[in-house]
Amino acid sequence: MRLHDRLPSWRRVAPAVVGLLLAGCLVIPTDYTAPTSRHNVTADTAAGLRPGVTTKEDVLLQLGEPDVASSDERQLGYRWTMVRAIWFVGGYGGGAGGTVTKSSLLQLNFDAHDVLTSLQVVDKWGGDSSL
Amino acid sequence: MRTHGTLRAVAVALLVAVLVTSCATNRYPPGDATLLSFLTDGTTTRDDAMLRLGQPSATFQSEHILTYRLGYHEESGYFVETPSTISQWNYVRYSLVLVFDANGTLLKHSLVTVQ
Repeated sequence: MRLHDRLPSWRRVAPAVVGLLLAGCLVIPTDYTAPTSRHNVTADTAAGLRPGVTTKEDVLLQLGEPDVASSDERQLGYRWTMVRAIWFVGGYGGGAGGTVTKSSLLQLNFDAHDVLTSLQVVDKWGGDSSL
Repeated sequence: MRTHGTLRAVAVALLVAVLVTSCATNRYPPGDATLLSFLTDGTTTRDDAMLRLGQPSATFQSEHILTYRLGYHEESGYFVETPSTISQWNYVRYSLVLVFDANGTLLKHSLVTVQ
């Protein structure tokens, strides 16, 4: 079999190439809090919380109701979501768009006396929600 | 023929009325600027709070701490928002945190701006 016999026929490839050339892709970098997210907790919030000193009551009075809590209340979590980019893809006869989000969770661990023992921020690049 | 025209006009008017009414329907309860004015540290009891504000959105430390999610109308004031796993913090402007002592009397409270 000669080489050109194994290559795809230009008749089959041409529409795909033309489609890619006609398609437009636009990504706009952003940095704002998602509308459904709480706005009062960020990575900087952790700096104001002191293990061994801060109590659960202090945390609740300062940050409000957490987004998640373990059944024994030894762990509380505050979640926020940032929109890091908006994307659009357009082509002949159609298009789509969405956002690229990054979710973060401030996880707080308490001892049996409701005193903060440790904390950490866990980041996760979120999915892609259509506009 | 004229009757059909009249019926059609009435039907259109009803349809428009239904559409306008559904669009104008407010999903929020009426706001109240004085909703939180009853809260006084050292005086207000847990029962007072639950009778005025309803079920809290969360409780902690065996109900020594109650939290409520509050929305706010610029024109009329605060309203209690029912938590939703779908909408998360949509339409919630404040998280009200109430801390009670062992006798159920309000020790301290905080109105945290979440949005």
